[in-house]
Amino acid sequence: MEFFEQFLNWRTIAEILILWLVIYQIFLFLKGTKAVYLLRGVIILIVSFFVFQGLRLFVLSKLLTYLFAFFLIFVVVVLQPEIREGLIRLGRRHIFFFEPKREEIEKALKEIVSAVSIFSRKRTGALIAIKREIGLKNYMESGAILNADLTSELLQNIFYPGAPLHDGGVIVEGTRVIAASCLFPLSDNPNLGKILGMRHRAGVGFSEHSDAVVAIVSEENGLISLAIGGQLTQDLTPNELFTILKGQLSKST
Amino acid sequence: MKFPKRLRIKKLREIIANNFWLKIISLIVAVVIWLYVNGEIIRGIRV
Repeated sequence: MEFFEQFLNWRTIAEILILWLVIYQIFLFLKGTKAVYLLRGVIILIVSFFVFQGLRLFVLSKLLTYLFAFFLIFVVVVLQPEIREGLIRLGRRHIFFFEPKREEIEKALKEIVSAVSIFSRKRTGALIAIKREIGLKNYMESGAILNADLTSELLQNIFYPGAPLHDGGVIVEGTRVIAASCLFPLSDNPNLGKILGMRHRAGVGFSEHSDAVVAIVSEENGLISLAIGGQLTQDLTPNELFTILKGQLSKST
Repeated sequence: MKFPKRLRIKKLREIIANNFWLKIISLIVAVVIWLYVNGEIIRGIRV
């Protein structure tokens, strides 16, 4: 009874709720990344620590605390990309930026979807990243800067097999095609199927490293996929693609 | 905008069922961490 009187107050509940929320968000963030395997290691270390404490094996528990300190440094080094991505998401804010009008965005999306449906029909491989808030300058510089009006014809021209810019990805910002033939980082997500090719891995990798939405058309079967935040949605129809893109891009503005 | 009761229940069920085990595990971890840190603080005060 004394325990409940001592601990069951609003402060305790608030502290546990905040802790729960933070831990849940961390777990959610780590889900589906290579960090899951490291997390298992951390949990084993923590459980071992409590077991050693309970059995009063003080030397072993002390050793574990030293090991834990080294492990933390190791985790920071190994998970550097994930930590960077997390901090970027945390620090993402709407401040002052000029956005094209909603109708213009919709028109641009229609151009993209029109091109993608043609690619799907003709089984032409394509990789189109739509920038949201996070800057993509490094990736743009890896390709050819275009800064051209976004039209379905331009995208068809870029991805035409054998065209000089058909390799790599296109980066779209608002109603402009900013760059083509850009190099995207490959995802090392172990949950991605082995049958997925480099184009899909690059699309998912790019969506992991930025907040961009990436549309991918398979060269092998013409299937349309969409990568958002490291998650790949496959086998979309052009209409579904348009609906998701519209929803995602209106969410970010 | 108010949703019909049926939709609200469905939405609530989705919120609970979505990542259910992740929520349970994170709650357990949160309680364990809180108990441990609180124990350490109390021990520190006593010393």
